[in-house]
Amino acid sequence: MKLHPHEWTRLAEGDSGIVALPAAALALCAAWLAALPGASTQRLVLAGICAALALLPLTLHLRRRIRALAAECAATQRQLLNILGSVREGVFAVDRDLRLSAPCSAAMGELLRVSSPAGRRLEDLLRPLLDQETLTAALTFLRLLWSEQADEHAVEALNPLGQVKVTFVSARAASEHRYLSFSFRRVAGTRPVADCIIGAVADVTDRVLLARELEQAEAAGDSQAELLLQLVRADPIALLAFLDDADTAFRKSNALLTAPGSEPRQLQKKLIGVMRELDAVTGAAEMLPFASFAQRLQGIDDVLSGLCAREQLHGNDFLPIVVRLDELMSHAATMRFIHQHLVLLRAASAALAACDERAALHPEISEGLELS
Amino acid sequence: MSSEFEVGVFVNSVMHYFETKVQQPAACGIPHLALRRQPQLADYTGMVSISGRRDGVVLFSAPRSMLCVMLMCMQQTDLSHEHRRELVGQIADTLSGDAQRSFRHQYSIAVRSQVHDGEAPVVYPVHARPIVIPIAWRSYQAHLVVCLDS
Repeated sequence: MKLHPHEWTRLAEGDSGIVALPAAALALCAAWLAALPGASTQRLVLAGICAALALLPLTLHLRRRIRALAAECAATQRQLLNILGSVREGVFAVDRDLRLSAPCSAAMGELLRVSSPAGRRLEDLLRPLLDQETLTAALTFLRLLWSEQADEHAVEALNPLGQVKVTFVSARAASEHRYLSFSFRRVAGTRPVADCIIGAVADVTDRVLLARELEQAEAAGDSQAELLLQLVRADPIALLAFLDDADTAFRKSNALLTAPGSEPRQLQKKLIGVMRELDAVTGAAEMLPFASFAQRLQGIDDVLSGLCAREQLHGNDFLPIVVRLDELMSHAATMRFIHQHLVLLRAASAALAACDERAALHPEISEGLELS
Repeated sequence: MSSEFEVGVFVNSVMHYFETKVQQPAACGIPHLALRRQPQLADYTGMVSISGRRDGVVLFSAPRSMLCVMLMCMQQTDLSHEHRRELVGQIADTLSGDAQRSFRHQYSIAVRSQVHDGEAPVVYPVHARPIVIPIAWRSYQAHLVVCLDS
C-alpha cells in the first residue's frame, strides 16, 4: 500500500510518542557506544543490538498503524462502491480526454443502456443517443468547462444536455424515447492531474411528460372555448357535412392500415394512401375554418411526411399515426357532441321566444295561465 | 385516448419479453384502431386492468400453437393448458410491472394482471377506441391491445 505524506504524519502522531521516546533513547545510546574512540568489537555488537532493539517496537507500531489505515481505506472504498451501486442517478467522472474514469455508478449503465461505461469516451456513449448537432454542442461545452480562463459558473449555465430527448433503438429497430438530464461540474484535485469533471445523469421522462401534459391540458382548455365559439358561428349543415366526411376519411385511413402487407413498397403505399385521405379533410378544415382540427391534422401530416422520407419502415413507426388518428376521431366526436347540444339549445331558445311572442300578442292567455 | 408514450411502453415491454425470455425477437406489425367491433381475441389472453387517472385494459392475446412453441423455446417440456395459461399470465405480469415502473411518477394507477378465459367479454372503456398492435413472431401472430380512456 502506498502512503501519502499526510498519512505518514498521522502515523507519527498519537500513541507513537510512547514508542518513539524509548526507541530514540536506545538509538542515541547505540550511536554513543559506536562513536566512542577505540571502540572494541564487543562495543560495536552491543551498539548494533541496541539499535535493533530500538527499531523493533517502532517497526511493530508502524505495521499496526499501516494495517489500521488499510482497513479504514477499504471501508471507505466499500462505502463509496455502496453509494455508487445504490444511487438512482448515473454518477461519473470525466478526464481531460473526455473519457469516463472508473468507477461509475451502477445506474449509469442502466440509464445509457451500455454494459460497462467506465473507461469509454463520453462522445462514443452519447453518439448513438443524440443528433450530431447536440453532440457537437455537448463536446464544445465540456471542452469549455475544462478551460482555465472560462468562468466555471457561467459555462455551467450553457449546458446543452440539461434536458435532452434520447432514442434507444433495440436490435429489432424498436425505438424508445426517454428524456435525460445531464449536469457537469469541474472539480479541482490536489494536483492538476487529479482535476476532473464530475457528471450526473438522471431520467426525467416522467417530469417532462407531466409538464407537457399540463401544458396540453391548459391549451386544450383554451381551445375548447375557441372551438365552442367556432361551432356557434359555423353553418350547421356545412359542419355536419364536414364531420361526416372527416369520419369517412379517418375510417378509410384506418382500413388502409389494417389491410395486410408489410413489404417496404406496401408500407409506403399505405402511408401515401393515409396522407391523401387526410389531405382532403385538412383542406375542408381550413375552409370552415376549424383551427384546432387543422392543427391536429397538421401534426399527423408532419409525422406522415417524415415517414415518407425514410428508406426503411417498421410497424412501430406507424404507432404515432394511429395514436394521432385516435386523437382526431375523439376531437371530431367532441365537436359533434357540442354541435348537438347547440342545436338543442337553439331549439329550446326558439321555443321560449315563441312563447314570449305569443304572450305579448294575447295577454289574456298568459294571465289565465298564471291564474290556473 | 392512449398517448404515444403509453402505447410505446407496452409495445417495448412485449418486445423486450420476447428478446430476453423467449430469446427470439418478435416484430411489431402495423397498428390500427378497432373501430367497428371489439378486437378479436385468440385462444389465450393475458389482461392488465388499469385504473386511476387513466382507466382501461391492455391485453396480450396469442394462439395456442404460438404459446406451445414459445414454451419449447424457453426449454419447457410441459406444454399443457396450465403452462400456456401461466405463460400469458407471465406476459401480463411483465406488462403490468413495466406500466407500474413507467407511470408511477406520472399519475397514480392501480395495475392488475389476470388471465382472461374468454367466458366473460372484456370490458373496454366506453369512449375509447382500442389500438391493436399485431406482434409477429416466427410464423405466428399475437395481438397487443391497448385501450385507455382519458
